[in-house]
Amino acid sequence: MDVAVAALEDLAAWQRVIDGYAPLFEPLATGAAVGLVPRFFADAIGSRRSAAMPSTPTLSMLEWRKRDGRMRVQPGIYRGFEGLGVDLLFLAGDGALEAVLAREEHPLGEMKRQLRAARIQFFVFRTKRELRDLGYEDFVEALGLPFLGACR
Amino acid sequence: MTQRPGESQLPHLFRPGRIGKFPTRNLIKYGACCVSNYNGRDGTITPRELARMRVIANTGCGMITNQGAYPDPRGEGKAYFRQVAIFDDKFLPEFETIARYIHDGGAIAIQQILHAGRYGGIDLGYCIQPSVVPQTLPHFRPPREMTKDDIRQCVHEHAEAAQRAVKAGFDGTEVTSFMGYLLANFNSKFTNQRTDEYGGSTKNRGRFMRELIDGMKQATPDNPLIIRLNGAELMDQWGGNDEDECFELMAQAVDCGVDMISVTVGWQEAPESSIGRDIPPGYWNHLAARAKKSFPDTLIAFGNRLPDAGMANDCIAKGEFDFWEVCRPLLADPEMVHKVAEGRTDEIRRCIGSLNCLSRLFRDLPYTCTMNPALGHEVEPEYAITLATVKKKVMVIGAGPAGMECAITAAKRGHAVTVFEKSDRIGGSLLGYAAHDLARPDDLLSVIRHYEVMARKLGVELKFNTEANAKFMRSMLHQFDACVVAAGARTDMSAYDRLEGRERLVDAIDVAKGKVQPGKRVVVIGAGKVGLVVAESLRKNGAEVTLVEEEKRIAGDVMPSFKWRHSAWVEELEIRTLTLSRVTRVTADGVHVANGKGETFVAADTVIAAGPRKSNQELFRDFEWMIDELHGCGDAIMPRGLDAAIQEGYRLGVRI
Repeated sequence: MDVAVAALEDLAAWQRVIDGYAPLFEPLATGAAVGLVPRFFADAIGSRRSAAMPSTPTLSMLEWRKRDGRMRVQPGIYRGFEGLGVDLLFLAGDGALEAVLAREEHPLGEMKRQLRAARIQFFVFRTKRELRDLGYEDFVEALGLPFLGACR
Repeated sequence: MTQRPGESQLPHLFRPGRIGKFPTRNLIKYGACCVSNYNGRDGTITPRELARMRVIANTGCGMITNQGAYPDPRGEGKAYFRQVAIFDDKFLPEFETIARYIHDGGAIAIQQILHAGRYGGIDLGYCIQPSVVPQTLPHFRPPREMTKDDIRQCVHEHAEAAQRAVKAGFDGTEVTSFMGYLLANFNSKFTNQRTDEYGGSTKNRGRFMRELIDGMKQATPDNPLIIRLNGAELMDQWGGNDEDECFELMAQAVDCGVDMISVTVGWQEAPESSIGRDIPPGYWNHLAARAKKSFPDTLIAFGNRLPDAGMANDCIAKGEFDFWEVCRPLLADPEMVHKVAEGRTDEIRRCIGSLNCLSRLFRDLPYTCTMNPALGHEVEPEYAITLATVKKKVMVIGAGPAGMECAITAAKRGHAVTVFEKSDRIGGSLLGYAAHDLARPDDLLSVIRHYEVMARKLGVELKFNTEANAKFMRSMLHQFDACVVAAGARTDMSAYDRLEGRERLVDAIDVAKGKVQPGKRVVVIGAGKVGLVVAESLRKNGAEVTLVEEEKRIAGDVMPSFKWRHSAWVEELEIRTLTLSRVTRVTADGVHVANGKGETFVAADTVIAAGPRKSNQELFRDFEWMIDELHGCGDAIMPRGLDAAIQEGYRLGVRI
């Protein structure tokens, strides 16, 4: 539990990650948002590990949201897929977010690697056209997500 | 009926079979692997579809599965833009026609019922699933959780659809979970997170399937029911079922009395390949073998990435499965089974796994086939090969895919065809591509082998080592009635005219053809398919490779279904890639590259130009006043790729 939250707590470190890739987020429309959730919490919501789930977690999600021309990190509470209010969601397995933060020189490269290795799982809440209209093309490309194409 | 020569060579595949009370003439099942998208937006079957099914009905299979129809009037089960519907009797006449075609062709007829679940609701603002689990691909609709009433209604609609199919004359029905459709959504713990009796344990997750089977069996007690189930979802890394759970679910289906299990592999969202060209044939056979061993009294059908009849025959002989389920190879060559049966296997046009078909489906387009230009045009007489009214002498310049496709098509129509080729063999630029392909060169080389065989059998004359130019043409005056320029394309070296040190550049095509041996440190300018293939191959063979691309992204001219593969190879091989970058100077030691971050130097022994390609169009001007008919096709018109080359070569061949 502590491990799952620890990676979320250093908001300043996550803001540095985002700022390091500012050009990727420039095309995003105001309000565009990405969520990062340790898989621990998602599994717990899905009642698989409910015994380990605290009744009211105070921090279970990071939200990257475009506000005032900048992608900003803010803490959030994950209550399941419904009504989440993000466009993309990353569910991170044990240690995955820590690994992203640890790779200071290229954290998104590490995120891409974790996605490929299925240690981070990815969900979309928008169609391709909507994502394009919201300005996600570069970000999605940088993470290699289009390569997870259908029927291969 | 007399046994044909190939049938005795593959005795297991061609022996009679049976499903339920219905005998089959062989153990080949045409699988409804994907929908055609040829139909009405309202689910009605069109003349285009009927014409295609008439061809499929005559493929020679023992069992033919008609493509998946969605069973609900709301369209929640509808996955594809122009998918067929079977929720009302108003659709019956066309289904009756298809069933009749199949029976007339000598096969038993199976109708697949396809509720797409999390991939459905294409015309709606939502899709339905056992639980709300968003998709991992940005193509689908937001999910809604099914209530128990929804589940009951869904089972009822499947049963009604099965009844309707039988009423239309089909002998049996099939329900599919492939590749991540509703049935799979219930079965998988990835998408089924319900806490009621339909979720949780494998037994509970399988409840929907058991009710579905029960409902359909009760509705059509005298007709076989086939169920398509994953032997592997390939979603286990993301919380889906592992292989053992997949087989537990199969056991439940067997206990419910299904007549056949069609074993499949993978979901659309699976993070790894299942049916692409990078998967070797036979790779998944172990799943079928496990199913057969586990359920010896239930028929097992299998065909994922098993495109070869000989291999299928061996598998049946070994008891690994009972029916060879085949679809895409029959799209590539609807005559395949007959060619095998008649011992003409060398004439088969192999499915090369380009996945052009599926790439188009996911863009809401009708599917087509790289290897079969007539697919989807069966209803149009203009696409049929008919004897030419006027027999002509046709010269084709270039023995690449476009030229050869045109040549053999024209020859089938009765024309006398001569192909002039500057190199010493058939293949054109495909040869160079195949030589460096990391996926499966044999697929590409099979295209060349096919042309070699057909040219020989059709009497197409091949003149190698012959450079076609104005002087050559003058020597040919009045000897031919028509000329087809299929001379391909070349690297546009003029694009580098202003580049300092351009004389040091090496042409990527020359590298691909082995005319130039690059050094150990290589820079490739241009990360389109030519540059990528060369770069990947050189890197694989130990060179240090840097790709420089002016565009934002690599693989801009690569087929959508294969872009990811190149990107993954570039990463896996650790090929340095500089996008939004331009080479400003080439020196003896390397290249200077400019981009938004400034200028950088990349050391290199060899600098390969793989930038824009230019059509070899000069011959059109040279030949214009020298021949009655002058035509062109393929890259000679505009540089593209194999698909366009074959399609255009054929279209030209059927009308000269």
